[in-house]
Amino acid sequence: MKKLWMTVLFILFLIGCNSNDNTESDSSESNDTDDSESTEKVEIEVMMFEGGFGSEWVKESAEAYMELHDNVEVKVVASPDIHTQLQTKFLSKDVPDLVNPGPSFDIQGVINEGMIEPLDDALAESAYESEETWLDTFEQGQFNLKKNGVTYGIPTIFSPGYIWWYDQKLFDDNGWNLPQTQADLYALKDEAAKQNIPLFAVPGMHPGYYFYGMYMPLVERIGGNDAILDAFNLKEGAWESEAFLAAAEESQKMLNEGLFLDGTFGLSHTEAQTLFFQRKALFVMAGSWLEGEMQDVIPEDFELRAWNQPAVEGGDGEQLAPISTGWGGAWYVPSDGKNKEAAIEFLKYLSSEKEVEKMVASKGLASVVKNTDDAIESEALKSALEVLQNAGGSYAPTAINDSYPELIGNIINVYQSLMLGEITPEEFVSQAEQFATQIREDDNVEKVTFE
Amino acid sequence: MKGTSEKLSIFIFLLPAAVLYLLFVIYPSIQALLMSLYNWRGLGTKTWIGLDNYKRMIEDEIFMQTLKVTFKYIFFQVPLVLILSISIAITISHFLKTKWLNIYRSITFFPYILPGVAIAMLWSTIFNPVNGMLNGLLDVIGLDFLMTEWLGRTETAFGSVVFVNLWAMTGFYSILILAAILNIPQDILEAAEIDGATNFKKSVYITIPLLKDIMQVVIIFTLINTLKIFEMPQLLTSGGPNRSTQPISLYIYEQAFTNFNFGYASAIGVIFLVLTLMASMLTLKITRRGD
Repeated sequence: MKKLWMTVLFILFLIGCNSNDNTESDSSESNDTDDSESTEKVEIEVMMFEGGFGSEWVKESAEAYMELHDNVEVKVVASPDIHTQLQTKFLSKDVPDLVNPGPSFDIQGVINEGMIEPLDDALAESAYESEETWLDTFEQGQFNLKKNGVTYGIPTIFSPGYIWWYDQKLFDDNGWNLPQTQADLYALKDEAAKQNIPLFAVPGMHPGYYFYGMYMPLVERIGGNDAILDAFNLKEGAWESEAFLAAAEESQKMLNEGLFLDGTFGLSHTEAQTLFFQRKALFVMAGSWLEGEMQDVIPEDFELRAWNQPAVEGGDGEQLAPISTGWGGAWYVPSDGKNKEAAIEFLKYLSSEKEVEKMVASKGLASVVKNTDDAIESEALKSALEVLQNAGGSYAPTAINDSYPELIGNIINVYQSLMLGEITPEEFVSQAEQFATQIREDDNVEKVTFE
Repeated sequence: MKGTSEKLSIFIFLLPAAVLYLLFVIYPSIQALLMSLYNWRGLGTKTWIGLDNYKRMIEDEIFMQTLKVTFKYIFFQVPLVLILSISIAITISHFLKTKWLNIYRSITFFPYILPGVAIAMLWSTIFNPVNGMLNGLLDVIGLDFLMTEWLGRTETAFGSVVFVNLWAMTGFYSILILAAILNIPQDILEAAEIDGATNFKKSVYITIPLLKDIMQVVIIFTLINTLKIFEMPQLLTSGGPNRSTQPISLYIYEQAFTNFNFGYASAIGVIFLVLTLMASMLTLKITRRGD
C-alpha cells in the first residue's frame, strides 16, 4: 500500500514538473514572439560569397536576430567558392533560404529559369520596425536589380565600380591639381615625371581593371551613356562606333605618352596596387574593396581618395560616375526555399538602418540603405560617395558582364592586345564588333535590354 | 574448378576499382557526351541543339587558337623535358661513386615536391617586371635591354610558362631516368672504358640506347600531362595575354564557369577526351612496335 502511495505521489510530482515547464515555456514564447510571429521553430539557411567585404557583418546580424527571435535559427555559410555549392544546391532543388551568390554564379540564369522569388510585393510592405515601405528605405538611384520591371535582388553594399584612387597627401605635398580633363592629365604627367612618378599602375595581367576603369569611362566621356547602351544592347555597328574608336585611340595615346608605370603590363592586381601604395604611381583603378583588400600595405600617412575620370574635351559625355550593378553582390530568395517568408523578414532586418549602420561603422563599407552615410568612418569611402554625389549621374559599365560574360571576356582580351601595342585601335573595334555580331546572331543566347 | 575460383577471385578483386572507374570516369564521360548535345547554362532547362556545339567549335577561332596553343605546349615541352631529364640524369650518374650523388638527386627532385601554387608564386615574384629578381639580375649584368614584362607580353609569356613547367617537371623524370641508368650493368660500361670510350661516348653509345624503355614512359607521361596542362597557365598568366598561353583545358573551364556555356564546354571536353585517347593510343602503338 505504501508503495502504491509513493508511486501515485511520484507520478503527481512528475505531472506537476511537466506543467511548470509548459507554463514557463509558454510564457517565454509569448514574450519572445512579437505580434503574429509563430512559435514554430524556423531555420533560415543563408549561403553567401565571402570576398573582400567579408561575411562577419552578416553573421553578427544573424546572432542579433536570433537573440530577438528565439524560434529562429539563422545558419550562415560563407565561402569564396560558394558558387560551386550553390550550383549543386540549385540542381538538386535543395536550395538555401537566402543567397548572396557572388560574381561567379549564374544568377541571371537562375532568374530566367524562375528559380528566384520576385520581391516587389515584399518591397511594398513595411520595412523592419518601420512605417516606411521597405523599398523607400533604399537609395533609388542604386536600386536597379530588375529584370523586365520585376525586382529580384536586394543590394546592401554600395560599390562604385572601378574608379580612380589617389593619395591626397602626395598631391598636396607636390602642389599638384587633380585632372579635370584629359589635357590636364597629360600636363599632370609632365609634372609627376619631375618626381619620377608615372600616372598609372594597372594590373596588366588582369585587363578587366583598365577596361572598366579607363576604357569604358573614356567611351562615356566621348560618346555619352547612349553610346554604351547601344553597344550593350548589341546595336549593329555600336562596338565600332566613333566613340569606341576614339576611346581606343585615346587609350593608345595614353600608353604612347608614357602615362603607365614601366612593367605594369606584367603585374597582377595586388602587385600593381602595392606599388601604388608605395607611391610609385599616382593612380590605380579599383572598386571600393581596395582599402580593405590592401590594408596591410597602406602607409599610415597615405590619404586614399577616389576621383572620377577626367572629361574629354569636345566629348558628348556627362562625366557620369561609375557604379556597380552588383547582381552578384545582392541578396536573393530562391523560389524553392523552405522558409521564404522568414528569409524575407531576416533580410528586412539585415537591411534595416540600424543593422546597416553597424555594418558601415564596423566594416568600413558603404551601403545603398538611406541615412547610413553618416556612419561611414573611412575617408576613402566617403570620397567615393562624393564622386557619385558630385557627378551628374551614374552609369554601370560592368552591367554587361552579368548578361554577356563571353562577349565582354573576349573584348577585354582584345583590349589587352591593344594596350600591348599588338593591334591598332581600328583592329580592336573591328574585332569587338565581330564578337558582338556573334552574340547578336546566336539564338541560344538570351538577349537583354539595357536602359 | 580451380579455374572458376580463380576467375571469381579476379572478378572480386577487380570489382571495387571497376565500380569506381565506371562511376567516376565512364559515367561522367557519357554524361559529358550527352550534355554536349544541349544548350545548357549549368542550371535549369536544357535545350536540345543536336550537333550545333560541334559546328560552333569548327567556326570558333578561339577554340582553334587554344588547340594551337596546346599543340605548341606539346611541341616544346615533350622534347625539352626528355632532353633535359636525360642530360641531368646522365650528369648525376657520373657522380655515382661520390658523396654528392644524394645531394644532386635531392636538389633535382626538389621542385617536384613543391605544390603548383607555391611554384607559381615563386616564379611570379622572380618574373615581376618592376622589382623581380630576373629583371634585376639582367640590369646588374648589363643586359638591361632584355628586361621585359615576362608574363605580360605575348612574345615572352608562353616561353616563361613553358620554362616554369620544365623547372617543375624535369626533376621527377630525371630521377626516373637516373634509376634506369643505375640499373645498367656496370660490366658493359667498364668494358667500354677498357676499350677507351670517353664519358661522352659511353653516354651516347651505351647509356642512351639502353634507356629506350624508360624514355617511352617519359614521353607518354609528358605527352599526356602536357595535353592536360592547366595549373601553370592559370596561375601564372590566366591564359593571357590575349589567350597566347591558354590551352584547351583552360578554355573549357572558361566556357563552363565564366561564360556558363556548359553544353559547349562539354562538347570541347569530348573532343579533348578523343585527343587524349588518340595520344595515348599512338604512344602505346609506338611502344609496342619497339617491343
